Amino acid sequence: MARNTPLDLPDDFDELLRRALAAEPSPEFLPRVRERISAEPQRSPWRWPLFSAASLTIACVCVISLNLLTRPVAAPPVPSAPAVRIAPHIAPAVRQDPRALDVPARAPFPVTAGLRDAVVKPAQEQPVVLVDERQRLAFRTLARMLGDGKLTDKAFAQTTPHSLDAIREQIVPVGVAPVTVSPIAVDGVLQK
Amino acid sequence: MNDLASGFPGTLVSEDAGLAREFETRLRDSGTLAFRVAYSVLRHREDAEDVAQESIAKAYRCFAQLRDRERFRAWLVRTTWRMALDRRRGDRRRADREQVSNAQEAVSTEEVAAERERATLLWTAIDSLPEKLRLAIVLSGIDGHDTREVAALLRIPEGTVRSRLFLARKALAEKLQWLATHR
Repeated sequence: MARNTPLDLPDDFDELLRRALAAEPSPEFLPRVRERISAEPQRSPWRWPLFSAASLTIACVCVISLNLLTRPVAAPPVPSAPAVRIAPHIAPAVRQDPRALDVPARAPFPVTAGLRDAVVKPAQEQPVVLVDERQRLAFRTLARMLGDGKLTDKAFAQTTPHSLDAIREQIVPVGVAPVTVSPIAVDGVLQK
Repeated sequence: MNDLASGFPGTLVSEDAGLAREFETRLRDSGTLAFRVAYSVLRHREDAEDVAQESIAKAYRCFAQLRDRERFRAWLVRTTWRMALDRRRGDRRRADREQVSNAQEAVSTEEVAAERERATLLWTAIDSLPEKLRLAIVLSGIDGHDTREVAALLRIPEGTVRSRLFLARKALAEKLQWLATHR
């Protein structure tokens, strides 16, 4: 380390520093250190396995807790509804308006084939009525009980304020008169 | 060495015996270094030995991570330095620090007095340095460590060591000049 520097350090600075730091420990120093080390607490061979097992357990607990805390809340089930189907349109019977007898028949509106088919096509299926699932089950149960004879008229009358006859009267098929559509005259219609 | 090896407790005999042999090697290699680092701070032999002993015992407790020689020496120097500083802060005996006098050769009383005076000035100047500069200059003075060895002990680049040594020497020169003119 002895070297000349542009600084004003004494020439023998490095030698002085070296001698100042060249102190030697006493001869008893190393034996004392060995004795001290021998007195160190015993290192158990089970220390590292136990430490590893404890660390693994803590890590597992943390992962499980984190998983439980961050699990997304299950959304409530979407209520299932029966598929919506369009009931086929029943074309009303068109009756000739006597006032329009002298009017030459006009060609109908140009409709697309698909729409015309949908309108004109006769109904092949019964209209679908949207019924709640619980109501459907209730109706089915009621029908089954009636079919099995488990639900007599008397018993049914006791559960409702009306008699069964009154209900039967209400579910008589209702006839709807056909709607009459008059064609518009050529010169229009006078609004009153 | 065998005494130390037999002193290592534990049932893993072969592993502990190997560790004991390695540690004994490190102890003989670096024990004096630890003492000198502590002595450079405390300048009291008994205190320096106590601190060095403590730091070596601490190194033994984590020797599994310090089996590499360079790593062990660097760790030991840093730990001893910090422990010595802590000891000095709380030690009232620092007023009784030894003055460096390794002059075993016969010298006259005047020479001894002059040597002690210069050593006192030197240590006063060194103590006034910032800690990083002080550690670098002290390690360069112990066992004639060169820049590369000091860099390995401090685990810093050699350029940084050179910079710190330059700054330390410059500060020491100014301090010594000031002390020489004001005493």
